[in-house]
Amino acid sequence: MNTNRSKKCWSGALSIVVMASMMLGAGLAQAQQHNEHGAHQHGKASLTFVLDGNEAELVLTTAAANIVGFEHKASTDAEKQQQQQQLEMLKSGSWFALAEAANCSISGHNFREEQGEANHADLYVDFQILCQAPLKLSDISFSLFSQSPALESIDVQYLVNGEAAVAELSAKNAVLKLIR
Amino acid sequence: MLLKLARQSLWHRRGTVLMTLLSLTISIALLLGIDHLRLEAKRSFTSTVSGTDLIVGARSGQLNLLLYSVFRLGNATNNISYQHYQQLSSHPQVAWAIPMALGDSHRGFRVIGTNGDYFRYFRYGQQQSLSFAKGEAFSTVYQVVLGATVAEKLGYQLGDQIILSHGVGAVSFTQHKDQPFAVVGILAATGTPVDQSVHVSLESIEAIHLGWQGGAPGFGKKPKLNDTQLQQLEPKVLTAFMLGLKSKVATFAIQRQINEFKAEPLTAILPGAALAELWQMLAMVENMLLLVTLLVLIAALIGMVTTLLAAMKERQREMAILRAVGARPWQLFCLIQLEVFCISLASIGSALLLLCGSLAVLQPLLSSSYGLVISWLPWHGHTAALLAALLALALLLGAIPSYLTYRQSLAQGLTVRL
Repeated sequence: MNTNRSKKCWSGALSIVVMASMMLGAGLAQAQQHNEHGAHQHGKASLTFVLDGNEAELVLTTAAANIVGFEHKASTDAEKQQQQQQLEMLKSGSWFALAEAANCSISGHNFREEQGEANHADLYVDFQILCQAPLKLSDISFSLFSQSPALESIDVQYLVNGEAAVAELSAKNAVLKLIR
Repeated sequence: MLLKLARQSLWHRRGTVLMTLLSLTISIALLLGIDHLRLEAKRSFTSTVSGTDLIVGARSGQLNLLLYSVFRLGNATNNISYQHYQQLSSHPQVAWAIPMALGDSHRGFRVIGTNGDYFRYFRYGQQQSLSFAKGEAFSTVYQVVLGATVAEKLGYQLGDQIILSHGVGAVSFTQHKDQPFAVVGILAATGTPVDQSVHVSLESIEAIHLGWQGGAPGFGKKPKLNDTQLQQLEPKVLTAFMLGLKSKVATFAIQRQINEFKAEPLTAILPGAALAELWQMLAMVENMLLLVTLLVLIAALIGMVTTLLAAMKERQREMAILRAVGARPWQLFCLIQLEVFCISLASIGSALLLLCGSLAVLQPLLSSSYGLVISWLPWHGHTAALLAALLALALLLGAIPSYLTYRQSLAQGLTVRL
């Protein structure tokens, strides 16, 4: 009698498990798309730079807090002003300088703010650059560290005429020397 | 005159000198060898893939993806769907795409399922493309193109029939016995992992796994496919693919697009950047290894000085006689330094010989089991400077016994002690 009941109990539990797994399976099968939860790191930004011929592109992706200085929604006027100023600075491209000799100029830029979960916004900015003397582009210096004190380091991947390399920049080492 | 003296004095003490020479030889060979291997491994790795802008695989770390896709080391975390490969390779910025399906092997050599674009677009070294030593690319299923090492090691010729195994071990118990492949082409040697690869079409990979369930052959007899069925085979999954872009400027933008691809979690890497990351990680190990080698070398040099110093006692008389027949103290200093120089130079010479010899012996082994092509000549731009620094260090340390000889008074040696 006792064993019978326990058997019943088991089969009941089993059927629940089977049903649950079927439901779960159906749920997974329906998920055609997935959500990205990119690394959102405070104090760190990532930068890519590519130079091919006389065309170049520089892209910075960072957590908004690194640039703006705070992560929550700007509420006071002072905060709103600070946010505005910092974003303008980022969009203007005044935070990096390409070697003078290369005679480069910014030909276009894009800016995007991606709102993640729980106030974790990410900023994305890219600059299209044209250089008159690309061979003389030996380095890029960054003043972003002094303009955005919350930023500690930038991971750089760059590609200069087909040669890829990586570097890490910080306030003390704010000049990217392009190896070629 | 001094040289003759030095040589004959060394010959006189050949037992201890030989031991010193041996320990110096080994440590110099070690230093040069590690330096050489480090540089050659870098060169070999860097030349393995060239002209490929992006490598795409299932979401994982960039090193993992690089290692399994290019170097055939390790395994993929996951497969990716063929449909998404087609979608991404038709991107307007993509010039060419090479699909790769891994996971099978032939007697320890990895099998790559791919298509004709592999032979057309794959580049290695200085933008060199693959060429056929014999035969041509596969055109239908059940045809195979062998890498140079595979053909040489296993002694295969065009027209031979081979059987692929499931999994990547050297000995496999699950073999695709019912479906033999014919060798239609053998690639010329490249000095890259391509030499160790067995290439078949994606459709062939599909064909040999047809009727399989859950990674094992299905029960019952497998349906034999007729020609039209073979024609209709469609690959469903890939392991990775390589992309060539029309414009390099787009590289990072495409990489970002692939990394944010919504339909499937993918990772796109720049082979050069991934390699650079690998070197950064290995730099620490490299430096430790060089440090240890340097310490071994210094220990050997100190050993040499110790034997020279120990010999000073028994050579007091010899030195005194030299002084008595008119040698100046500085000449004695030079004599000892000359001995040090001779020992060091001989060690360097024998170390180079030892290294060249062992590299020549190990070369085929390294290339077949690790895919590393190491030149047998351990000479680089900075080797001469390194050896000069080594000689200078030896002479500097050798100055200790030399100076003691210099200081030694004439009387000390000639006095007969009781």
